[in-house]
Amino acid sequence: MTRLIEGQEVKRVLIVDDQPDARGAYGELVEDLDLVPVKISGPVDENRILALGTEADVILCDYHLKRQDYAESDGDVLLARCVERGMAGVLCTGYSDFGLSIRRDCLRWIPSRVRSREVEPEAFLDGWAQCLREIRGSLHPARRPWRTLVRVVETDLERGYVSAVVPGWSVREPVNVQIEGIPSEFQGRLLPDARFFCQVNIGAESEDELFFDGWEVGDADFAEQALHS
Amino acid sequence: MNEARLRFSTEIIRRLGEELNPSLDKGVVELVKNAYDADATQCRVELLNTDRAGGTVLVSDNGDGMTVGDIVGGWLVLGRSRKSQRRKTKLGRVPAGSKGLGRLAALRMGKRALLTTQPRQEKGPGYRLEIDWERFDAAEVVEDVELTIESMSPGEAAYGTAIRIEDLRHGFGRMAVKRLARELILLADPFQDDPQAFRPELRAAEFRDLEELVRGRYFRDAEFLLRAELDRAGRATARVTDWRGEVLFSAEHEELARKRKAQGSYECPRATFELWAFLLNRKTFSTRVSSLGEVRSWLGEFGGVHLYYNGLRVNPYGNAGNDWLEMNLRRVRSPEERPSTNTAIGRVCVEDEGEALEQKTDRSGFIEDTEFRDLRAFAQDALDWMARRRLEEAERRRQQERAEAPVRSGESELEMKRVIRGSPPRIRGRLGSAFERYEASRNKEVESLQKEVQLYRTLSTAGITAVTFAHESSGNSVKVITQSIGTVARRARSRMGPAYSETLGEPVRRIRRAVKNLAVLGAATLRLVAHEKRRLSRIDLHELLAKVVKNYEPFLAARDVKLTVELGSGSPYLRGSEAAIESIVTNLLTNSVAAFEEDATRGRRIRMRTELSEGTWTLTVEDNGPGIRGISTREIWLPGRTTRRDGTGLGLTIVRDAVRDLGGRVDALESGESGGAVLLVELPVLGVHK
Repeated sequence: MTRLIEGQEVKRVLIVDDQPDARGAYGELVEDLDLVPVKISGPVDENRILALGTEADVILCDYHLKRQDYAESDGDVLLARCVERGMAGVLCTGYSDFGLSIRRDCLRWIPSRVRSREVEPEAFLDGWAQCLREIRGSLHPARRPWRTLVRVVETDLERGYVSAVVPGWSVREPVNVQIEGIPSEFQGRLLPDARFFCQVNIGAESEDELFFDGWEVGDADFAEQALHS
Repeated sequence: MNEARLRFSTEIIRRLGEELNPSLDKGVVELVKNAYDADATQCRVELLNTDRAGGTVLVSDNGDGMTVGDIVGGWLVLGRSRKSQRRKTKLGRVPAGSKGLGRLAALRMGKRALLTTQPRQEKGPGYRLEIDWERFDAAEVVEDVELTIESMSPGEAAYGTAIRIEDLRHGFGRMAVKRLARELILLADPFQDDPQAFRPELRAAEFRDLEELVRGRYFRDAEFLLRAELDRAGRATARVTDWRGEVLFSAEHEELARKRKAQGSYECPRATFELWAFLLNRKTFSTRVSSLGEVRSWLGEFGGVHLYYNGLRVNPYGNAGNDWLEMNLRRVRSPEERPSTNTAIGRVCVEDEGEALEQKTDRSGFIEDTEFRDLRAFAQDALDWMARRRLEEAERRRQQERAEAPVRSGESELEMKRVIRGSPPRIRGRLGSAFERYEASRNKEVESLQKEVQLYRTLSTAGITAVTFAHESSGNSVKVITQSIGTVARRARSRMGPAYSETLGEPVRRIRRAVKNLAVLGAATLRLVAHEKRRLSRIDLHELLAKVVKNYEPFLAARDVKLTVELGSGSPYLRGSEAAIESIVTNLLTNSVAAFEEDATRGRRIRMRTELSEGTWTLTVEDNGPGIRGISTREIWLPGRTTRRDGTGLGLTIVRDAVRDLGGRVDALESGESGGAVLLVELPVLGVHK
């Protein structure tokens, strides 16, 4: 059977998970939506997934992909690259989000996340619909990026995070941003009080929905002052 | 109409001079700053017999000099400075001088001040002005003393300014000259290769070492010098020398460039990288001329790696806040062996005849193309190599210390026995038996410590295994069970209709409950090892206690334990790590739960309450278990002491150690109101939020 989601015919769903049993379980869930699961065994990368775009219409991708020799990146990175290139998908995260670290640069391209404890087939339909709407340029106010100031509070390389305040979102609550998701030319500048401009969805209601994209060095005059202060 | 104007008593000059308290360093440095602001490249400070009253201070520079207008309209005007405009000088320097009052204080250090100056912009002979302060002291008002600016004879002076302060009112000791030396170093360009750099010089016959200090800055206090060279072919070599210049390590290109693809050449111009790394601790500086604070200030001002391009310094590399080699970020990974911009100073000098590096159009550095990236990679690879080698060295040292400890201990023992044998016969026997007793108790202590270490290792391994299991179960097994039971439920419901609830409804709910408990326990295990919990920060005790208890609820529920928590008023807080408090609370709870199991207690209850009194927070954990039996309340805290089968005997030791680390104490009662054990933890708090 084919479903019409946001005007697009969806019949086949590409299932990306490093565990065969989990692919099987996701497959049954897709079947219960009267759709056809296309289970992909490893190794996978975004090029292979995009090449399979002719065989599938949307993606269901798990976050954990590196337990076995399946993928070189986690599901957030892989899915974001695919969505950025026009293929809609939903990211599945574990039972508990503890220890989960979805990269903020990837969140820019991942509007839909589903937790495995909440897995009801309809949640995936909603997720694909939202992703398709974003690909067409229709963004929910909570997902709209704004160019805004970002101030570094502290950097913790051991954990790979920079803690930053986005005054446009909250002047008090610092947000952790993964350093590996920040372009390398900015990584050396992540010192306390450094200012940058970023594309951030400052309409987000909770901290875990915030994405950071399009990094720029902060105001040139400010940078000059900071260097000479 | 009669004209009148405000006039100032010469007393004002005297008082200002006194109240500004012209110490040698502050006064003279003000004149040196004037030289810096006048774009001088050289500035010499000469101290002649300044260790006693009557001496002379001479400050001379090769800066812009002053015209008559500059002298009258600027230099002689007190309390206003042209520098207040903060316009950069022709050489791009940010003016360092302050109000003209500092200059007054300096000039008043002696009874006479003589200014000679030759303006760069004039071809003329230059000017001379003498201020005799005794004339001011004799006059009633400032305006009564006339000053004369004389033209000098041709050839009398080169351009620049010289100020001679004669007949000093006080002498200055070594500490004052040392402070002056420090100020001069802070004003000087650290490397001085740039022809436009500011180079202050100190001449003080009585303090040759301080002259030398200003000349050499603090480079000699560096513990290591890394010097890496990159030749025209892009091949790198490096070596690290110690403070005496002895080579400690050296490397060829292959070792330095091991992370590069096929250890290929760096595609950038010829360059050298030098880095002086300091060990900023009291022990290292206890025998140095310079103090730890001085070097720290100097590095605070100039630390980091500066970039010189064909001999000229390029901004912003190495400026405050510009860590272009990411030294600070990398140091976080290995603080022990990595220099930071606060503990090292260095320079990368590029010789780029072919102009391979391209400057940005706004002159704010180089375009980050392949050439620049490779130049940076060369310097970073050298830093990484030095860190690797120093880490290896440190590890070797530690191993050696471990290996030598028993040998040293054995030698000490033999020495002790030899001394006892040589002691007078009347006390030899007593000494010998006392030493034997000491040896026996020491051996016992060593044995107990070894056991404790082994127990900690075993428990750490168990913890690591538990974490691995938690990761694996929550990410894989729990996920597959959750999804599969969902599929079973959906499909059965659709195929069986109402019969589903009767036949499969309850077993499916049971599986879901069990999976939820499993997942929560897995998450609780993972939370215990979260990195940020080990960082020191302000801990709100009640908030954290509530969080830990919430995480533990499924665990307690699974064991039929009812927990009541009674928190005292307010929100007491202290500085510590979440992990410490968490291990205190979880080990106390686990202790009660283990006692229930051992005793098969019916109606298991734990009561946890907190109180605050005179800056001490008390946590009391009381249960209705069997109480403390067969072991004293003192012994329960000792490692390995337990009355339970399979008990590690470490839980309460961890509580005791964590409490001690936080400056608190522990106590226990064999039984309390509920019949079971009562364990108390007292911690000093920093404060309380209402």
